[in-house]
Amino acid sequence: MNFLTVIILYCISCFKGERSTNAVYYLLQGKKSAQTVQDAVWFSLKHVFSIYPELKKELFQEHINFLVKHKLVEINEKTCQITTAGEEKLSNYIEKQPIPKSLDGWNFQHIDKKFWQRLSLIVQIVSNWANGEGKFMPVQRDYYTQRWVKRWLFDWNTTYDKQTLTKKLYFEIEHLLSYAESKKENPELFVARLSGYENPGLTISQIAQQYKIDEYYYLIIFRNFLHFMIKSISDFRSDYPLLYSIIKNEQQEIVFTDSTRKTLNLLSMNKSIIEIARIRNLKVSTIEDHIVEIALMDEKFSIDQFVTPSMQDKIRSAINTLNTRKLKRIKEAVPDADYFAIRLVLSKWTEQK
Amino acid sequence: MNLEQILQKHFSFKAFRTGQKEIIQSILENKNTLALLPTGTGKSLCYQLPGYILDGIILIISPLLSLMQDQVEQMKLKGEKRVVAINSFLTFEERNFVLNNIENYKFIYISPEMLQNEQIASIFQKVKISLLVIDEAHCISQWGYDFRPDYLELGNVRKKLGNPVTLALTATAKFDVRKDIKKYLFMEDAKEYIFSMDRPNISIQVEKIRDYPEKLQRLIELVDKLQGPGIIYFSSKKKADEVAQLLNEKGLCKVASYHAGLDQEMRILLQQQFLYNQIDVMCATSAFGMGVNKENVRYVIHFHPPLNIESYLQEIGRAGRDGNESIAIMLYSEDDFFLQQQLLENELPNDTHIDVFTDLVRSSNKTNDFSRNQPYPGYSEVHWRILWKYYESSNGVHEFQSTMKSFVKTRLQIKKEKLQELINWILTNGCRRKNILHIFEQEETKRVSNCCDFCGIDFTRFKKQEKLKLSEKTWMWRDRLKSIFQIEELK
Ligand SMILES: [Zn+2]
Repeated sequence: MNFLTVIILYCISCFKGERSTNAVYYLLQGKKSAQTVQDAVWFSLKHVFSIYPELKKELFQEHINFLVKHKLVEINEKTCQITTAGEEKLSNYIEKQPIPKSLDGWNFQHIDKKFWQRLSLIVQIVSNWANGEGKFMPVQRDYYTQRWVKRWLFDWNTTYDKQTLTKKLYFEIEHLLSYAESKKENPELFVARLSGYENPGLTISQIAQQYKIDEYYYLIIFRNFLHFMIKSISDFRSDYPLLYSIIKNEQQEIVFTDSTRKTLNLLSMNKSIIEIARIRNLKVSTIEDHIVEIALMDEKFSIDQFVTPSMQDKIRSAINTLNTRKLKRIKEAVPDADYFAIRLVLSKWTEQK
Repeated sequence: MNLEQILQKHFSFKAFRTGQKEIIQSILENKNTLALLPTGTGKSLCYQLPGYILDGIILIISPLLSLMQDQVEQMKLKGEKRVVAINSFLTFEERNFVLNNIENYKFIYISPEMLQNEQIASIFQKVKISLLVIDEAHCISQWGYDFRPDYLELGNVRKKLGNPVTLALTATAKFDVRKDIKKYLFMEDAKEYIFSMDRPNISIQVEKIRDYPEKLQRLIELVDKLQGPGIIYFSSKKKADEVAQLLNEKGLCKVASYHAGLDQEMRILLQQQFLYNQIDVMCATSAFGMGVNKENVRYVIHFHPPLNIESYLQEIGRAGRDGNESIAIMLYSEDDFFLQQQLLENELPNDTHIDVFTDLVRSSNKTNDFSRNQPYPGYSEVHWRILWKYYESSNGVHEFQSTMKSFVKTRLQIKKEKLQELINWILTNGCRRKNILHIFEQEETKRVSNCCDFCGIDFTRFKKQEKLKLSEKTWMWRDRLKSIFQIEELK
């Protein structure tokens, strides 16, 4: 049992027997479908969204088979449920290897890999400059990364000479990593992967071996560290002008379907749901679907105009008491709420910790 | 400038290696040329150097994507900016950019399937190609160990390009393969420069081992005794990983494993670690070697025999590129032969694979998850690629099914014969070197001391000079960061 098995078990546990194993796969892999996005929000699994983007279906299935064989999960017709033995195993593992707290796949999956590719290449280039060497084997072969980095260096070179740029970059990274250390994040596991002049970094499995952790756990910790860096860089952007310029033009785009976008436009003109349905010649339920999608994707979108705060509270407490995401059961507990309201509340779901 | 001066200026070498100068001169005399150099002795220089003399483009056709990328990076490393690889790694926009600015490039690597694209082919018809290079030209021959159907089209490609001067590079000296190359490339007039495939500075040892545990034991002993750096070849990723871990646990030296299952960044890191001597021994599959320009590899061990003698030569050829004494040791047990046979059969899709694939294609629609990019359960990625390729170039499902099956049958037969050739070599008494050269219809050029296990090898010559001090230098992150940025203590 490695950490991938643990994470899968963790997701199954969080899904409370109300989702299939496929839902877990799509979540970890980061499928950008309305269903997966909804699962991530409703079941408070946004942090693990897309944390193993390269996960192969076959490998995933092997892990599921393992869990079933050892009676840690049970698979029913469409859903999958963790057993008591499974819960016990899970809490043992999570205690030893907790899911790191800065992990935020939802907000950073679009940039974490790019950030690493760019930064690692920049560091390697700068290190070779510092040693007076212009020619070396780049650690990143991706054409876009190489071109992007070339441009980045060129742009900054108009402000700073090579030496100044090197020093400034060093101090930004040093400052950021010290800050990480003060927040109990471990910079060793990050710096070991950096490559410099005639000094290639360690591979994932070499680091995992050195620190005696399994590779899947290291991957999570590494991703967690990147997320911590990205978040700190954006939060304190004035402290990190160089590092911030690596990520600043990479805001996560919220992509809606054309139809949803039209609904959103009409909403922003203060049209009511019924009016929008009439104008667009669509069913009211379709417009409601659009609004739920918007509420899910856009964290800043408020649902107060559709559900009164007191109704939201009522629904929320019913969900907490019942510990379910089944609309029908919630509706039974709050008969005066409609399904639209329940779905909206779930779309803004965050676990009370 | 004479050739030596150009060599010095662009490649920083003082002298040519065997054969290079003759081949380059033949090209410069506008002669179509078919050449074979011993492995690991710088064949790419034979077409790169003329690029600094001829005024047109050097177009290099190469079948291996990873090799292409490596060559491009290596040339860039030497300061050549006008080099590019056109292959499936490029996005549509990148490819268009390159094609629209084709005259800005001097050295263009391209895969055979790209050249079959009409648009691309027509662009190359309009520019001046001073030299067409067919790398791995033996892939054109169905008798070769590595036949690629794509290569059969290259003759027509060559015609369309207006018959530019052509250099075909082969890794096997066999007569029927050479005949095929000249025939299919329409260059019967080609001048041949076939140099000895022998690498006299590599001693060849073959050892029979009883069973697997004994083999492991022997391997540990060798790694302990032999002067590194070394490469150990395995026929499976899993074994490479396992043994690397075992050797690391023994603490004899720094070991890593390398195979195609790793992503590109990890592969580059491992190559670099090996190059800068941070790793002493690389446990690898055949994916390792190309593009690794490490001169001082002192030994190559085969933990499993490869699938044919050509691969064997290529793999041992990674030792001793600096010209110094090196040793190649093959460990084999009789079980291996059976294992290799199986491996060989699994390389190609079998009849059931083909039948199921056919059914899938017939019944495929948008709803089932049957995709080109994701192999169906039970198929390897190679199976999947071959099946799709054949399917797409066939006229209908029925034709595909029968031609695919007969293709697989023929290929399998030839591959089995190639394996048998290697097994025979292993089991035959007599000088190993002479026997290999005999297979390639070549004669021994000179007597070699420490030739092979049959002629006798003085093992003390390959012994480790001194025990390696394993410095478990673990960096504190601040120190490592400082060393990367060359920051002195600021106090
Ligand atoms: Zn001999």
